Amino acid sequence: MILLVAPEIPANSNAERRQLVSSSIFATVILIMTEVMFFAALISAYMIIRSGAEEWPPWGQPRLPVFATALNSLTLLASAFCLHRSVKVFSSQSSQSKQLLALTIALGTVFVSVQGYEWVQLISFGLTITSSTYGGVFYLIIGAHGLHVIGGLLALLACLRRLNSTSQQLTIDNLRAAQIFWYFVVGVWPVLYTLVYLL
Amino acid sequence: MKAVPAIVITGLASLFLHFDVQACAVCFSSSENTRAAFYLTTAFLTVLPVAMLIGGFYWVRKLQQKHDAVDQS
Repeated sequence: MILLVAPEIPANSNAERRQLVSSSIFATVILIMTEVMFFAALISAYMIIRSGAEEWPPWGQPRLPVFATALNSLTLLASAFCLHRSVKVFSSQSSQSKQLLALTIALGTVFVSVQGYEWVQLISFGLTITSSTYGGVFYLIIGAHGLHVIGGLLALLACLRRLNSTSQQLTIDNLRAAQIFWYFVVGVWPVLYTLVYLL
Repeated sequence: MKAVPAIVITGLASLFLHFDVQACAVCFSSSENTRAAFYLTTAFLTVLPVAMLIGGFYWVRKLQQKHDAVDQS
């Protein structure tokens, strides 16, 4: 007979339940799995739309600032390095960890701000979400990533606030959960940059 | 009986307010490139969740082994 449900462990059993990974980290990993599928769907849509276009970018549409965005990408990569260092020294050097976390947030904010400036420029040049399919997919993909960066920044800000707080202690697991999400945000960017800006 | 007017209205609306829709993701283009991109992305979107699930199981298994090793030592 095949059991579809696991047998219940009696209350007086000696069997112990162990937590292999913290809930916050596990939840973040599940979230990232869904986010990977979300971005995979966007990339797929982009590739299919692009493959059907005779000219890409379409004639009359402004070109994207490839070099400026490459420099901006370095800011995002630097923020991931700072966060890596911050988590590494979290237990031993709390004040340095705090400074590195603040630097991570600052670098992330610079990235979003430069992206925002780039968008304002592109809109002024006539590239809007309704100007063409090119504009539509550009703002959809890069905008979705930008929203994730903002979400990651909010998570890091919450970590920094708890790091400064005396009443609410920040645990290493909470910081690692935010770190995993930030790594995802940073890791997906080179893929999007290559697809949207370079190819 | 109250449903009859709704059915009639819906039927009339479907007769007169219809518009063309694209039945598949690649109907806007019949080029060979689009067909290839469609196949490629279908394979990509099929393999990716399976790969993530396998990766997830592998990760949990490694964690379990790590904990077992700590317990035994």
